[in-house]
Amino acid sequence: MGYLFSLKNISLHYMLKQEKINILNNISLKIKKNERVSIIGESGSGKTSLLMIMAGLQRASGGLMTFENYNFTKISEEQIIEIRKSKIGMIFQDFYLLPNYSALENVMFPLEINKLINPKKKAIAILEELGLGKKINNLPSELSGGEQQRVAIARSISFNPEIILADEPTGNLDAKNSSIVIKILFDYSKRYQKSLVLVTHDENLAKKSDKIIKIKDGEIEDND
Amino acid sequence: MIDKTFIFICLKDFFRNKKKLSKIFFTFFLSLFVFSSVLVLESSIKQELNKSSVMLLGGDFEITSGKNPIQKVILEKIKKNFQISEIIEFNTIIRNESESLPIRVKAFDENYPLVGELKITPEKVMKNNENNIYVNKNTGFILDLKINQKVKIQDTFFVVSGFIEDLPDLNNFFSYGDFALIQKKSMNSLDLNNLGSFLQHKYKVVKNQKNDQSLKNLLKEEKNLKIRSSNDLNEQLSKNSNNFIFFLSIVSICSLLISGIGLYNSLLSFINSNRLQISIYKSLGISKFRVKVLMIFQIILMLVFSSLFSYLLSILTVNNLNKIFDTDLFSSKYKFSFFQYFAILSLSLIILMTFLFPITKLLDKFNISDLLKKNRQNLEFSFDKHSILICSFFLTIFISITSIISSKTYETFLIFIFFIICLVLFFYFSKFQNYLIYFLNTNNITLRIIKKNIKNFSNFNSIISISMGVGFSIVFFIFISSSSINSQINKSMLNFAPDYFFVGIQKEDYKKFKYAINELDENAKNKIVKISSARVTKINDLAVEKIISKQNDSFWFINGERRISWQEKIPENNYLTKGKWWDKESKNLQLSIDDKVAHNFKLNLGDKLTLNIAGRNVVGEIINFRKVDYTDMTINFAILINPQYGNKIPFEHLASIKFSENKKINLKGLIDSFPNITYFDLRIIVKKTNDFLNKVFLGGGLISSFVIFIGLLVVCSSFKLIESFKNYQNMIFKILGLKPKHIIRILLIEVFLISIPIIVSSLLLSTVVSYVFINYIIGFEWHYPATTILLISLTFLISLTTVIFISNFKNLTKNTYSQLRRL
Repeated sequence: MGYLFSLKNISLHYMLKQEKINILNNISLKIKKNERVSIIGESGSGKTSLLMIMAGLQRASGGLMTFENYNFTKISEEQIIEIRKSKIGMIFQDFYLLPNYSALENVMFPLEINKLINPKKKAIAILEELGLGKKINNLPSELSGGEQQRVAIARSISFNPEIILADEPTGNLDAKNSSIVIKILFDYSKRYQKSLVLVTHDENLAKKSDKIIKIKDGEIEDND
Repeated sequence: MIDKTFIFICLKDFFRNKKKLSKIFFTFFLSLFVFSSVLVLESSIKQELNKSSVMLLGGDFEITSGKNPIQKVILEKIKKNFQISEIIEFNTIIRNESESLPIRVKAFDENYPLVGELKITPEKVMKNNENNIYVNKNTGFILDLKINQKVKIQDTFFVVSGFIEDLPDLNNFFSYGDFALIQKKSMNSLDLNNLGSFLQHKYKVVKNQKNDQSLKNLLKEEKNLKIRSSNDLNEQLSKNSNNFIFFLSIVSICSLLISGIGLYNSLLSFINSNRLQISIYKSLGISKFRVKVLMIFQIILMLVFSSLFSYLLSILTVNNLNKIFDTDLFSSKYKFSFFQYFAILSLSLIILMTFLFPITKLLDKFNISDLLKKNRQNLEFSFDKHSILICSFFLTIFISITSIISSKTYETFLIFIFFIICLVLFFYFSKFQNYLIYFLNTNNITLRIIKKNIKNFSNFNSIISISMGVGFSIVFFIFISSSSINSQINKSMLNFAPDYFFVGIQKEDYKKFKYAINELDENAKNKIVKISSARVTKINDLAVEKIISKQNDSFWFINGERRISWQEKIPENNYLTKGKWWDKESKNLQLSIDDKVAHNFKLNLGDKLTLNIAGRNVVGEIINFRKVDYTDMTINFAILINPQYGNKIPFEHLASIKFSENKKINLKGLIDSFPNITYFDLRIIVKKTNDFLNKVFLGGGLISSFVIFIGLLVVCSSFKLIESFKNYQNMIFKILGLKPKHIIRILLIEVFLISIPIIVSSLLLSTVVSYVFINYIIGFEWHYPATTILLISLTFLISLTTVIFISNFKNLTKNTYSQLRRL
């Protein structure tokens, strides 16, 4: 079976006043298509950094990483952006919505830059499906945290990416909103047979995944 | 309300914020550096220009008492309050064993020169026991004089003690050609009665520093004394320097207005960059009032530091400009003036207060929920009625103070009106731009993002448009005005002034003289005109002495014989202000009169002047008035007559000659061949005048270039206002799949869409305003440097493109995730 993501001996470190700070050490893992993976670990263990490397938002200091047939450690940033644009959906704990764009415009944006047809119609359909039909014209500042995260999810799934990378998507949400957001993500992944990588420190949430990767002090402690 | 602990928190916060504040400090500093530099430059140049004109006159004042000296009582009265040097000037003939030469002699006392330096070669002190004489180099050359050689004036022997290289008070003295200096005590051996009508007693006067009594007040009863101050030394020079100093004050006001824009933008940036911090303070229970005090404290502290630093640096810069530009234009000993610093600080504080109130009102809009919701949406800020009222109040104070202290209150006030019109125009212009963008319907994602950006950042875009519009209008205004003034100064340069005047060329010598000049230098430019002498005796049949007073500015016109000339065509440097050129059919005497004389005598076309020509009274009719420019030192006449009549009267020729540059001319042969011809050497005064104008030219160019450069920087930096919002948005664009080059393309098109129409509009506006300013306020000829303006605009666009490209490229190519976390 082909792997969507393959990481081999990935490491990340930076220098702080001539002192080498290791964030990730020799991380090797593989993620299959239609696989749901949770990365868990304590705060500061390096899980978000790992996710950012996978998204191409951070360059690894060493090792090899491939996405489909692309070697992320060798290709240019421009090429990574081009791949991310159409194949990787991102969700962040802090939502990172475009502040001056309405919910609808936020969701339409990836559809438009991917030049997909009927972006508005598609965006409205997704937002309605996620229970935001009445708030499509609201700006992020006019939405609650849970609503903002749902807009972020809608934006990340709108262009039908191969994988969704979610960095603690429920970190800023209450229990009710958390379960709504998780349900949406897992349902989407299963329904459209897309991969999902979820960074969380909630072990119960992680148990819903096909695979759990536990990271401690920048190294994989357990690869279940 | 404000306790010690709070002050401690303020100070701590100030030092903790140093990185953020350093950016603002730079903007503050740049804006204030422009203003203080222009002020320091203005004062420095004023001092130097004043020194130059004092030098040309030989003192702060010159009193002329004519043939007789000033009465001793009056002289004592002057001596009590002023330093004084007594001088007697007269025309005479200097002879060696075989030759003679007409010269102007200046007899000086022991106080001479009061200002400047008398340069003599070889450097030698006059011997007390002899009649010593210093001669100008040309006299020495013509008469082949050596040091210690004896020459004769009247029947008295003088010993040549040196050759004059330079003397400070050349003004007026020059026009008599060759000259010499003797000691005043030597006058005892000369027969003053035989020195003719050109004998003049002159007194050079310098103000006593401890006394500020006005000389004109002191001598107001003495109607026979003519007092000239260094300010009215030379009408054209004075007009140039006065206008130049007025222009400098306009530039300094413009620089302060540019500073205002810079201050306003930096305040907004500062408040914006502290948004999160302010929300946290509020969440921790610090009251709105204290948060405002905290911010205002930091801003004012910054203003004090940056104003002091910029003032000190501007003094240092100005003091070193002479070295940099190899000139002596600037005062190299300019010292810190507490008063000047206080003025800079106060005016900047007023400007700061103008904008501070509406900006601190923004602080009320930051709330804790924004912080919790991580709201990064743009601030909606607009001036409410209360803010507009307070802004107007401070602006009125600022306008009133600067207009009142300016030398030209009314004109300065008009410049402010121009500024306010600019503000209002560009405010509505930005609204209009947004309105136009609203109609841009396109499926192109780049254009749609641009449209969205312009709409979303309309608040900031309004500020950018106003900053750019006002900034550019001021920059273009300064540029067009300065190049018009410089073009005028360039015209005033005596580039075409002749080297020599030759008077008394008889009809029979005319061809020989022309040939001799051609032999000396075949490329010499010469102008030879026919001249005669006439005295105005009556105006409309009334005796002139009865209707024109001695106090009349044009009294010289009727005081004695005048040279008159006749020409077929109107002279090149004259133009008609009223009437027509000659009526060729008429054989009667027709007159063309200097426009200024006509104004002072209230003459009209058709008036009759009675001229005494060669002992015969002839009545002529005034048929036109001419604007005569005597300052270019070419041949000019206050009275021209029609050639039909002129050719009937006895005449001789007057020639002005300009030899080729760098060509060494030996006039000895010419003078020997034409013993009856008198010549005047104009070269020294031409050089002195040109040096003075060169200083003004360089100073004007330097200051305006400096303000233009900083103005462009301030305008450029206005785009930094929305940088943090844009950076955040751009990072998200990048995560969602927009490539850095695409994002930069979006930013650039957006900047061009905003800036190009503004550049074009501000160019139109400043063109109109500078036209009015130069033509009707300064009274110079308007000059439009189209190519340079195009270059400035292109340079600005290229610089802006480069700045935007570099700053965004740097951000966009850095690690996206770490960038995002920092924002």
